Amino acid sequence: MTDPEKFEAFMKAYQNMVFTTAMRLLGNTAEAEDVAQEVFLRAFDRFESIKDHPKVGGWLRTVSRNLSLNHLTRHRARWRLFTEMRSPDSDQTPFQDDIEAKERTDTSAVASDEGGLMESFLAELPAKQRVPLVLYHFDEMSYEEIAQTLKISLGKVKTDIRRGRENLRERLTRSAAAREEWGLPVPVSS
Amino acid sequence: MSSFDMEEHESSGRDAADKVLDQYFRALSDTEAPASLIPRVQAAIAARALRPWWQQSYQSWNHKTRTLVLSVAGGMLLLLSWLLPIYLPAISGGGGFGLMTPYSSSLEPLWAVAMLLVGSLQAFLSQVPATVYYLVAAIIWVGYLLAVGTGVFLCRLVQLQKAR
Repeated sequence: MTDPEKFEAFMKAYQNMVFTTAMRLLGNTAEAEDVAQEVFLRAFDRFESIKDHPKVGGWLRTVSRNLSLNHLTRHRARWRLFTEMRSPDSDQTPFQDDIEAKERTDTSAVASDEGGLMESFLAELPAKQRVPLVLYHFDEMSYEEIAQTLKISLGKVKTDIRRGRENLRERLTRSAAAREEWGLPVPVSS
Repeated sequence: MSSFDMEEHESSGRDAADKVLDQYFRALSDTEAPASLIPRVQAAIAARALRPWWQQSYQSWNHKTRTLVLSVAGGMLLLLSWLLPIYLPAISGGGGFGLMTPYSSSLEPLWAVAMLLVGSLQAFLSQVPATVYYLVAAIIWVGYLLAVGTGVFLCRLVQLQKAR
């Protein structure tokens, strides 16, 4: 049987990493927490075999990533079917961002530090730009691997990543200008 | 060319913009998980533990239960593989329940009725041309699409009216 205290210590050690992995892909706190919960439930089922494994962090990260991608594909695609008001667009993917602005987590309001600001800008990107960007930079996947994982064309992966970077740069520039205007320290050099 | 434009650098791997972003992203520390996460997981584990063992996942069963269930399932498979060759010919071709239990005589009329029904159904289905099957399948499929389409249409209509 799993020792509850050991499992709690295990969760404390990895909760930030698991939550951050999900948060970066999903861009939504509530959904990221749901996914993190599911990840730890799976870890609980295998706790005896994984608890001392040297690659348990990698395993948790992979499960978080896969569950987040599943979440994006299944839940949002299903939700979109009944709620989307826009006309169909051939450029759309299952990761098209269709969450209403009010449903988003407004992380920029609480992001006072440099890293928090970047995380909030990342969360505000449309999912179709954020997901490949995160997979490329945080998970160090190649364009081909991303295309395979997201089941989209290589060209689209490159375009979305490029647009995501441009979008990020624009937000950072705007933020820097606003900070300068208010006499605040500029967090990121673009 | 903007510093984030990577089109001309694809052949040489990650470009300068890649590296800047990479360095920046790697320097980012993890976001703190909500304080509610661990209590939520613990509550979910407790709720799962309250369920009877057969409703829990196989991986959460203890070794004794796993061994017992596997043994019983294996035993039943062995028993079936031993019994079927004996009884199946007797049931299907041997004219009923000849080799089966003392109840066989009382079940004989039921068996005859069942065989009559199956025979009639078989004869009827063999008369139906294949196109009818395709037609029925097409009707079911179109009906399904219509139901989904109507649902989507009504949902969007409601959304549109709310938006106004």
